[in-house]
Amino acid sequence: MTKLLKVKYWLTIGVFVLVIFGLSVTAMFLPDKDVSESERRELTKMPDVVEYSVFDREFSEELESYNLDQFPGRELFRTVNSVFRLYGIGQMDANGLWIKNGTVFKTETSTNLDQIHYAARYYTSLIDTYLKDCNVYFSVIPDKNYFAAEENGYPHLDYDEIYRIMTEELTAAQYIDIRDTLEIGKYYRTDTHWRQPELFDTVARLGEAMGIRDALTPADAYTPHTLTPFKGVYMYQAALPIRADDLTYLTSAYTDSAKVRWVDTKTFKIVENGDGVYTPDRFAGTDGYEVFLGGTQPLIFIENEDAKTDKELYIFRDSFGSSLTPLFTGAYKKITVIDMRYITSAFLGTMVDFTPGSDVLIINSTLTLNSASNMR
Amino acid sequence: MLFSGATFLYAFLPIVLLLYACAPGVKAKNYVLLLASLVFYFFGEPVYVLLLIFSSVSDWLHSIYIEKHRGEKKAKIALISSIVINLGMLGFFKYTDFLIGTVNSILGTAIPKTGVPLPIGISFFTFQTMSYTIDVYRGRAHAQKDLSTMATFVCLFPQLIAGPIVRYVDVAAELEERHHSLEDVALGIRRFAFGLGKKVMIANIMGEFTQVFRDSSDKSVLFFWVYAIAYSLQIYFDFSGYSDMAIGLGRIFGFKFPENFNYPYISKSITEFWRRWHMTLGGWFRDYVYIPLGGNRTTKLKWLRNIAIVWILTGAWHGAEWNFVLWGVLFGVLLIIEKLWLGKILDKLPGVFRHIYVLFVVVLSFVIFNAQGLSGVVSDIGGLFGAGGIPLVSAAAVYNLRSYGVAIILAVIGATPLPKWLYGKLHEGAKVALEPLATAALLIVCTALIINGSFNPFLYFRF
Repeated sequence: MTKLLKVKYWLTIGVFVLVIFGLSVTAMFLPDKDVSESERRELTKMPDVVEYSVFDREFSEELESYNLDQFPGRELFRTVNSVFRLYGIGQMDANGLWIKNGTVFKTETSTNLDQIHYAARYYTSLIDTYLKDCNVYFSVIPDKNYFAAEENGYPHLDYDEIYRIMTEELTAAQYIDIRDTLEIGKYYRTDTHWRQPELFDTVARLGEAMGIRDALTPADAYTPHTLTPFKGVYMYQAALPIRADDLTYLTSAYTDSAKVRWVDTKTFKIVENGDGVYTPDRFAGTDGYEVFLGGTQPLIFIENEDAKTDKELYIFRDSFGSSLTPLFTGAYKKITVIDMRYITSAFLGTMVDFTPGSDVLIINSTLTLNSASNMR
Repeated sequence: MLFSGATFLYAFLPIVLLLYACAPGVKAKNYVLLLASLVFYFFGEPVYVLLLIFSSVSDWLHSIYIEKHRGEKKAKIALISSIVINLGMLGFFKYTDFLIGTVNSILGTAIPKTGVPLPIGISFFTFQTMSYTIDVYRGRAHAQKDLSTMATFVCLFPQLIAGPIVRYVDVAAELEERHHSLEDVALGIRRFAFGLGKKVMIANIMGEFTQVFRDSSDKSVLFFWVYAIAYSLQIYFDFSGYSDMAIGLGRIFGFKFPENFNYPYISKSITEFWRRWHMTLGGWFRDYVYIPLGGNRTTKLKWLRNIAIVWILTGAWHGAEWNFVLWGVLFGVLLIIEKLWLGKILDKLPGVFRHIYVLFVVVLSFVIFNAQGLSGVVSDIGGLFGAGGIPLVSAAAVYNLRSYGVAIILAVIGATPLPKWLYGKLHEGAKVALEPLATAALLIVCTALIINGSFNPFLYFRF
């Protein structure tokens, strides 16, 4: 054996020992984590042997999950995976995400037309049951792919069909088309949602149709507050070195004076939240977007004695509505924000009194409509 | 436990390597391997580890009895007993529900299925133990007197659940006395890392494509063909990757397992393909079925019968479904045709046409192989030729071809000897740096893909 061969063999054994034994030993001494911030989920804990019978196969499956979840440098390895897929073997997406000009998109491959029909039927039924005496409007928020997927060769939802079905079947409400008020720059680069400071055209379009445009607070009456860095949900999922966003929320005299009540998740009672329409302390949590209306909330009441009208507004919304709603606070004395994914329609009447003559805005994203059966 | 799982790579393997390195002498090392192998199997099949132990003890007793009564009728009875037990186990666990299902569908009966799960690797370890007992009967191997050594051979985890099918005579000497050299350990590691790369970086990604195809409602002729190619690549890299890992691990532990693949996709005939694909299985059927039946040294009719039997069995060995039998029959028929007249015509054709012929047949065969029963065969093969009015091209096909195109091209190149040939051209000095770097890179990228929770089944575990 030549000296060169010997060196090669020793180096091969060396790197193997370094990687396999190095990571094994690190894993052994590294404390376990409870949650993965990037994937927004709890991580598997070491399975307790005594909970399993000797011949229970589930133990080994749990052990494998544990080893995968608690692997040292897990985030770095997830990045290696994404880089290998996108740049090593030229895949169009990694973890279902793709990047164009620094903006992260999620591939949406299948349009569930049944779900769109369901959404139209669902809201028609809701209007028949509760909202007959109200002025009902609806709009559909296009997801980011609407502006970029087709031209970049990525699969996307069948937007033509979604808008056709909703406008043809949800005839009990007046449709407001907001698509031309939006563009890709009005969404966060690293998140699925839109940016609140970019919504004035959209709010104006909605306000115009709803007859409250003059009551809307003008853009120059707002004060921006910027929180940084905002790492949107896609940034975590992509596991790639992407520049984070800034998150800006807008306050005005009306948002400051608004009183906000919502459902306490522990007692299930309606309580005053104390913070108002923004909850900036939630920025540091797992989802910075929860700054807007406290994130996931089934039912929120926003009251404003100083509002320019005595009218009431009911917004049936998803998470996009969280950043949209505060921009209506000056125009309505009371706004009730409802997320039907977390309230059963049969019980809605016991929780909300619908005042005849009020405005109702049904506004969901295409993504929510594509899985509309979450609304019951 | 999977070779490409975090538990194996970063818990089981380092512990076993450490214990193995510390164990003094072959006997102690064998104990370490036996214990490790039982733990390895126990993690995947806690109950069936008893079956594995039973199989080891049964063939150990039978072989000793056979050797004691060599040349007597008792030896033959013991051999038959051993074969009946082995085939009985295989038949019960693998084929009972298949037979019940077939009877039910033919006679319209409603005999309930047993629902007994298939023990992982049963097709491999029963074939290994049968070959051992047969070899002892034939006098080609001495009966192993030591039960632990015998059990180490049967249970040896590197090749326990997905081959290669190692015969006792291949490793008999190494079980008693083996040497561990720097070269063997380093080359074993290299082989293992490359096998892991084939499995995780190619087979799994091809597997993702086939899954995307299966889940898609936007099928087209193009999509069917790319699926067929991707699946053919998946099964090759999956199985040959596993074999590489097994051979590499074996070498680290001082064993030299037989090769199982030799670039099958460069073959110029189906006969050649089967000399290059799953070589240890082909060799097993040749030595323990085909030749005992008379091989080709008999009448033409019996020769054809022998080929037919071997290929029906080969198909059925791969799975208890009719599509596997059909797959075996297809190859049996093609081999017969090649041997009778097509072979002579092929010999006169330019190489490129022969390659096209083989690849066309093999890709079609793997579509049959991966179909869900016979109705799946009809719909999948039909899809390749536009049956059902599907379009030639669909958006999903184009997107996924763009997304997986580079990986497919790399896999096609990787299935040829070209990378090895190019590597051979490198100066030895360059290899000194390149090999350790490649080993490290493979381990890290594979770990990243595994950690990300990518698609990670082993296709051959079900056989």
